[in-house]
Amino acid sequence: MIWWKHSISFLSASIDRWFSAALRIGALLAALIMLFILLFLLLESWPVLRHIALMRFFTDEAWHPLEDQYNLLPMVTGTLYASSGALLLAIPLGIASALFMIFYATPRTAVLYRRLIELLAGIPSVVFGFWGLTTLVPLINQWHPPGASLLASILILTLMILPTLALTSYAALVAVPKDYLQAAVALGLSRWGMIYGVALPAARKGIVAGILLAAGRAIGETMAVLMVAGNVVQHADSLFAPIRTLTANIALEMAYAMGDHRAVLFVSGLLLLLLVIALTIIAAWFGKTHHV
Amino acid sequence: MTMETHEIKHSTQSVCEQPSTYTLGPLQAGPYCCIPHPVIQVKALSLFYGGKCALDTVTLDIYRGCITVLIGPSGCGKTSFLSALNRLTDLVPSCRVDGTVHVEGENIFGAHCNLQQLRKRIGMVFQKPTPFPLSIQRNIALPLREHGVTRQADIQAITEQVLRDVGLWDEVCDRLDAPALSLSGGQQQRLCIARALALNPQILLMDEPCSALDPIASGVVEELINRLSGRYTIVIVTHNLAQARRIANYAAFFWVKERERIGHLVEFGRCQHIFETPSDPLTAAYVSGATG
Repeated sequence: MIWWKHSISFLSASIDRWFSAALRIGALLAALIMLFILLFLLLESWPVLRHIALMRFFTDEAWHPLEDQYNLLPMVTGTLYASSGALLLAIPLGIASALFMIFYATPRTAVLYRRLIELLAGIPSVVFGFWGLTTLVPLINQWHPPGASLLASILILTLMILPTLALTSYAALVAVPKDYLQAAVALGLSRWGMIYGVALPAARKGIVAGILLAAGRAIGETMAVLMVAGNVVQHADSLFAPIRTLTANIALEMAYAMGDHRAVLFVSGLLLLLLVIALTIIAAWFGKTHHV
Repeated sequence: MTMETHEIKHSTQSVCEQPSTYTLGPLQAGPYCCIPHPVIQVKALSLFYGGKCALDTVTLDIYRGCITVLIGPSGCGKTSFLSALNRLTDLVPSCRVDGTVHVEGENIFGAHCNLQQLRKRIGMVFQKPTPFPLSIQRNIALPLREHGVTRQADIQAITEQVLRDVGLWDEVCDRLDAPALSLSGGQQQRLCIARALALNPQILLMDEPCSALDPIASGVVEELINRLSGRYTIVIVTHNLAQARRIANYAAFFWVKERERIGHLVEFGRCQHIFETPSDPLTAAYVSGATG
């Protein structure tokens, strides 16, 4: 009997050891892949980084890679304008949809609505681009030519990140303990008071994580934006001006880029990665300091 | 500790013999318990969850300024009964209520009942402490703001007053901005009581407020409940018969029918009557510890 007990505990201990080792390897692999990508980008962009001063990517006359003019700034601002515009529109909409599903809709409507949002999340980006190109761009063109513009990219990106925001906010809000809500109701709080005062603060961390995810997607989205943005390398001076994003730039020119030009495209990839890293750090800081 | 035993000794005396220095507040005009004035009148109240009866035709009066204790085994509908008194039953979509509950003459299940006002008048404290994930200060300020107290000075004054009332002020006055969830369980429960008191309710509903606390914290909360009686009308559910006997002015004994699982009121009366000379054999068996 004693032997039996021993062997059980021995067995479970060894299973635990193996499991722990497997998890460690998995985690290490995931971290290594990230490092390898960074390394790869650095390696590929090294030829230009070596003999071109970093500041030139922001101070050169223009983006004429064949004539040694490598100003990436218009693309950086293009990416930032389009992503932040989309976030500005999609964050309130996404949170509002989540609140609607949980606090306002009847259970049946809520389920139906959530299915629709999930469906929206599953639409391939090229389809969004296609729709933008054939419907949205002509519409904007009627209003204010040329149509392919910052505004079109913002609207398409909004549609694309809306489901991410709605579903992550939904998950965060659903996870708020029912006790809080019950206590809030028992204190005579109105529905809005309960949402604003209790549910949203309690779900804040999850919502911020969702915003980060959506921002990453907005910054990284290539195909759909490429199809509606107009892709002119310039500082956007209005919502109707065509823009080119960093990702679109890579996709458009990679096919024929050679030598320094090719390496500079990798530099823009590196810039994208740095943007996302900066975003992650900001989000982490936000999660830590702004406790209420 | 000596203070506590002192209080407990008082509360075991019968209702009318309580010392005249015992209470303050709206009822100081006369010895409150000698004029039993029903503040809540429950008539033929039945509760159904999804068509299944959970509580069968309960009729009883809750007297102003007194502590009414609800006792009985689990599943006999005490908590359901309690949550019907401030219409928290509305939160359960499948719950249906028959009968009437009059608070100060107004039928709370009537069409014109203002729920927010009702729940301001009837505070509630739950079994599990439910401070919101906000700072200590904001926990109290949030319901106050919701009910129209917006001047910062007023909010601070009320916060200090209620925290003193529950004996928490000295423990937290130097860290009002700390998260409420960093408090110990007993402190959290007292904060919840303070939060309910901040709205200046007439009636306090307490659903096993001590059962999630350790004996010492439980003793502190019990002493607090004792101090609050007279100023507030208190209805409290407890499984702790010794505690019930110590604090109650009135007691209601609920029982659940074996086969149908329907809760019902067996007996209601003065504490002394229920615990010492109960008329129903079920009550006698339960309070003596023979069943339940």
